[in-house]
Amino acid sequence: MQDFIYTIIDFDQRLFLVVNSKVGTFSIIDSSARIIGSDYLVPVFLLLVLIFLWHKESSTLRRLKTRLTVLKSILTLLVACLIVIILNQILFRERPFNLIEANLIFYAPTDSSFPSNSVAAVVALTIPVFKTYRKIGWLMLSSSLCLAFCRVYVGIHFPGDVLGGILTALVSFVFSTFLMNLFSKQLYLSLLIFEKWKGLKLVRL
Amino acid sequence: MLGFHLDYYLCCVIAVSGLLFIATSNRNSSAAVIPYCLGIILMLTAAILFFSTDNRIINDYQGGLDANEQTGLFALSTLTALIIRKLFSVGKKIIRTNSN
Repeated sequence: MQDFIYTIIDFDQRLFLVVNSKVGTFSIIDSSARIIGSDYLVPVFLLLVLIFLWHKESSTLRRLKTRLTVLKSILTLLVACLIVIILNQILFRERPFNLIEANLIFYAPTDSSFPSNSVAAVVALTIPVFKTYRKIGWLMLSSSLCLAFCRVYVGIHFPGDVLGGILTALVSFVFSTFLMNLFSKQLYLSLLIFEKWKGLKLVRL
Repeated sequence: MLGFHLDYYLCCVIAVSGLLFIATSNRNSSAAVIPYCLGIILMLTAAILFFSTDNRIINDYQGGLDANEQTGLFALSTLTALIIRKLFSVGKKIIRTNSN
């Protein structure tokens, strides 16, 4: 069993070196990877998509369905963050630049490398939308995967950390689906009140 | 520009305002090209302004934003953009009523 784990870790490090060794070939790719892999571009883009979905539909029934999806995305994100916090208490994995000779073109984070919390967060935001709206879902998924790749490219995550982030998001999606199903009636009613109550007319666009 | 937190907040306000232009034009009319383009320009401007004015790839303990600060500032900027949008549409309504 221990040999198997060491083989996986070794493969993970080799894969990291293959991706990270390309740093310095083209400066424009390096700068783009730094921006895409940052904490600001992709997360804000995904949140903007969620706001767009919140206001998108014109018919009441479809709008309620879309808003439930947006709420599910937010719940999945919260559960994913919680799982990452718990996992960080249990295990700590060093960052690639601390273990092997990596080309670091990003700031040096000090928290655990496994699982990638940024990848877990963006994939958690994406999965519920992907399940309901395929076109917008593909757009969100591709930007999330771009962020995941760039985090490996700039030298702050192993590919295994990214995979761990994606798995964390999937588990949190299952958990949030269970929670949403449990309180679906109450959520639906709350959204209907938000939609129809005249007192809230002022805050609607 | 004005400090990391304020820069992030202002750029998010610009980006969300742009998005609201797109979202509301999409809902009201299928051929609303001008608000659509304006929305995209605003969102791109926000991103370019944020990343080109300073070094944004810094750790949270070196002046960057941690996850909680990001969430709080983004929520605040969304609220601000919604208020601006609401004031904009109320102003438009008042001008229309006065001109009639």
